[in-house]
Amino acid sequence: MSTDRINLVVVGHKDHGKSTLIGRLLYDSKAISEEKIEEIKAELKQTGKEELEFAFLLDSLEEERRGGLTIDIMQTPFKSKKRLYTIIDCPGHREFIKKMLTGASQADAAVLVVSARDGVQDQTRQHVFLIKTLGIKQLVVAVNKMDEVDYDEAFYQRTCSQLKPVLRSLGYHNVTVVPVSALKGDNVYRKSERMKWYEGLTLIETLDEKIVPPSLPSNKPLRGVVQDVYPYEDGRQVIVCKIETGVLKPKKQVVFNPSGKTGRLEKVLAFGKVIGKAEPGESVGLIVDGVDTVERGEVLSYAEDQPVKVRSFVAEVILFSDIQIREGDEVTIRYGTAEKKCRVQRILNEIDPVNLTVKAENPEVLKNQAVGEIEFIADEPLCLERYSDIPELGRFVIEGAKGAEAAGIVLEINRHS
Amino acid sequence: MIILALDALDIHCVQKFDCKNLMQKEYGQTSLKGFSQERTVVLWASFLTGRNMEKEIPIKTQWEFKLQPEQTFLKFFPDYRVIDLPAFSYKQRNHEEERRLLKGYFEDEVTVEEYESLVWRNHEENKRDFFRELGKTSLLIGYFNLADAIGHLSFGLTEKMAVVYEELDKIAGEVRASEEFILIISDHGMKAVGRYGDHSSNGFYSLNRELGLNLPEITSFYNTIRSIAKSEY
Amino acid sequence: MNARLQELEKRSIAIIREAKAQFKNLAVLWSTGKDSTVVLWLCKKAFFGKIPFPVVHIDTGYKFPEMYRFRDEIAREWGLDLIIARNEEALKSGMSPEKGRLECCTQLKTEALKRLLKERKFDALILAIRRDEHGIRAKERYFSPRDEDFRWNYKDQPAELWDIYVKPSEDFSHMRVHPLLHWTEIDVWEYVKQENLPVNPLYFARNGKRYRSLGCMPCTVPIPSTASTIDEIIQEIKTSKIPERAGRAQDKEKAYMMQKLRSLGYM
Repeated sequence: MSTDRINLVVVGHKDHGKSTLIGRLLYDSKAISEEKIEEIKAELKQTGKEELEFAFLLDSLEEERRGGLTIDIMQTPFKSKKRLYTIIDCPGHREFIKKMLTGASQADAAVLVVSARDGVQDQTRQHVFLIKTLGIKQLVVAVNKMDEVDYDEAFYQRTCSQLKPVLRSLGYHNVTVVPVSALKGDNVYRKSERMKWYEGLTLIETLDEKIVPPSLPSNKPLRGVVQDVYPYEDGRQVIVCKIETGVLKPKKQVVFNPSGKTGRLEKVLAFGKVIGKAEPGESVGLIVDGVDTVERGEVLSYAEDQPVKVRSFVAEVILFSDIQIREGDEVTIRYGTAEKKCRVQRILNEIDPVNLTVKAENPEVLKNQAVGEIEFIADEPLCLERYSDIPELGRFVIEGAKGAEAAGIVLEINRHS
Repeated sequence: MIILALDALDIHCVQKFDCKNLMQKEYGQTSLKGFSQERTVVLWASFLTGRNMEKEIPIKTQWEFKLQPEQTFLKFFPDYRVIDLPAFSYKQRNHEEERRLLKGYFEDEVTVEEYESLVWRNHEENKRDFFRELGKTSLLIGYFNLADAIGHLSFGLTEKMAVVYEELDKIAGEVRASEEFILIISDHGMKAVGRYGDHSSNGFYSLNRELGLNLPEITSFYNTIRSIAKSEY
Repeated sequence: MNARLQELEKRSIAIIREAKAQFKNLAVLWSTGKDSTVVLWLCKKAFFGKIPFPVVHIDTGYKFPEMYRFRDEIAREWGLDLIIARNEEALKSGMSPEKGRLECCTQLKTEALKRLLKERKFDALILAIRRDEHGIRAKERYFSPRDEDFRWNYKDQPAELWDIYVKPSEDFSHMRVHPLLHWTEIDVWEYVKQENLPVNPLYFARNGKRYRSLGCMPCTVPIPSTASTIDEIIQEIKTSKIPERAGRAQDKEKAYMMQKLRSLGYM
């Protein structure tokens, strides 16, 4: 039994049955305790609503079920024959973009739910666009509510043909589309008796087959972010760093940018032990000969492959809540552990996430949770990377009074207008 | 005729707190046979129309459900006043706010005290409306949800329920003074879940005349009321 | 080392280190239970041996005697800077669960903590909660801000993207840090076993019963069990699916009531 774990996000229009699908996945995989199921069954026996058990299973969150909307993220693991999946539920409501993004941002793969009867909607497209922007490369589609269209293949085919151009234009190719009924349980875990025309795998089998566990970005150039500096033995200090990409090994020459401080890495420490190497995701202590202290936010690399010092960059920015961005604005961005000031040089365009077209060229302001491309000038040089090269250092949030108020993905660096 | 519709009034509490005015000449439990859930709106609608309305009232829209007078026993009276009765003249805003605070309590944002203070406020409003109309029409129905609203969060706290039942008994006492036919009826009872109160499957009824009813169903009062109305009006 | 536990540990330590880097006056809450003891251990690892900030124990006065013994022993062994928070006034005036469980918890736990926060001006607290513990916990984030009345605006939580945790500047009293969110109950036990961490004896079966979670004496009910070693406990958890807080009566009733009221259309 492998301890493979996959983080899934389930997206799609709010009325297309995401919650029911999630409930079905949890229920059929027996992810919920016997006792809780008995409790719910007893409640529902009276109302004759046995099939809605799944929706009620998601009652961990009190704030839900008015009109079937979920409002926040829930992480509930369920098992397949092959591995353990953790679902991050994404609400389907336009107003909760911020929370949806927060959920989608940690996922390894996405399941898109589309209703067989209603087909691809604006919100469907919007969600695919946002998943793509967040770099989720693996996608499986569930065409749901087949029970409402009498399991008719024509509806499934129609939805498939609606989906193809949308997915392709966003770079999703060869996506498996499974016809299901979350309500009745067809093709989610159990192969459906009512859709003999479908010869493919069930949803869970598709997830097992098609979704590949994320591999650590160990093959990329070394990049680490400095978190802190702690006192160590003999009056020395240990530099605590989180490795984002590449593999860190001692005895090599390392550099901290943008300050340029450099030295030979003597030791790599983890929890009081000296270790031979550190991989992405690990937070370790460094003893560097010649470098006693470094500022939080600096980026670590080997001397032979240093990050570019970025003075200007173009990013795709998504606004949350009611923040507004105008040309000339000074913003504080956070990437890795760094906190730096930048100026909005120009808002290049506003993008319509529904149609995936440019909504406006050079708008004066971005607001109302808009999405747009912005050119920034940094007050001091930054060590940002292109998102497509090294996503860990190619993404940032913009700080506001409420916390993170916008998110950005770096498209180009050091471009001059 | 005067009908006191007291939501969730429970026979065990009426007896425990010795509510003499509520008990009247004849009293007992009602049967909710045929109903799979004890939903307030469904039960009062069924009381008014004399038939089981459960299938016609979906949960999602139940609070806004409204009957026409011709569908109810009200049509047997030359004139009538109905205060705050679910499925007929429900005070939407008041009760919506109550439900909002109830939800807030379960989300740990609202205290029991805040919720109860709103419930009592709404209760006082209904009392004012009710006593203002007393004696003016051939039928007066007054609805009071005090036992239900307070009970949901505090049924297990005897001191609190004692206060509630004392209050309802007092209202019954003031009505008793008039000479009309008085029916006191609840939609369902209540049972304790720790400190909380869940709906139970027997309501309460009492009459100031002996009719010899035996575990009547809530839908059977329609005919009883009709015969009385016919004979008197 | 178990690969999975290694991953969990890495993530937790990264979060703890971030908390230390971003907040000036940090403290960790320790209930002496298995989860918060794991958190203490992770803190030790994160800072290469000694925890550089205070460890707070909220003493309601109603804890099991085994708990107090255990606490003092570990505090000594691990060189903890231990602060004990107690609401002395409430205890003197006779506060107990008989006055109402909610009231008792509010006075003896919440109030005690509030006063300590005011006194010591902590701007961040590390807590050992996990997502799989209880329904409402599923909404929690790694970094979760609280305002002065410990209110948590979970409907409008700030976005938590890509391990970048931002402190809000409005309506902010302290940040709650939850490094154990992504661990399950079984993960915790397996880690305790692997690291050979000290465990409160109440978790093990005595006379056919054991405590699955340790609250205060009057309000925590033991479950029937014969599990007397960690392996047996893990086995028991894997085969039964009784929710962990089944012994915490108050939670169960409230959860039932909420469910019932919802099914009746009230909420």
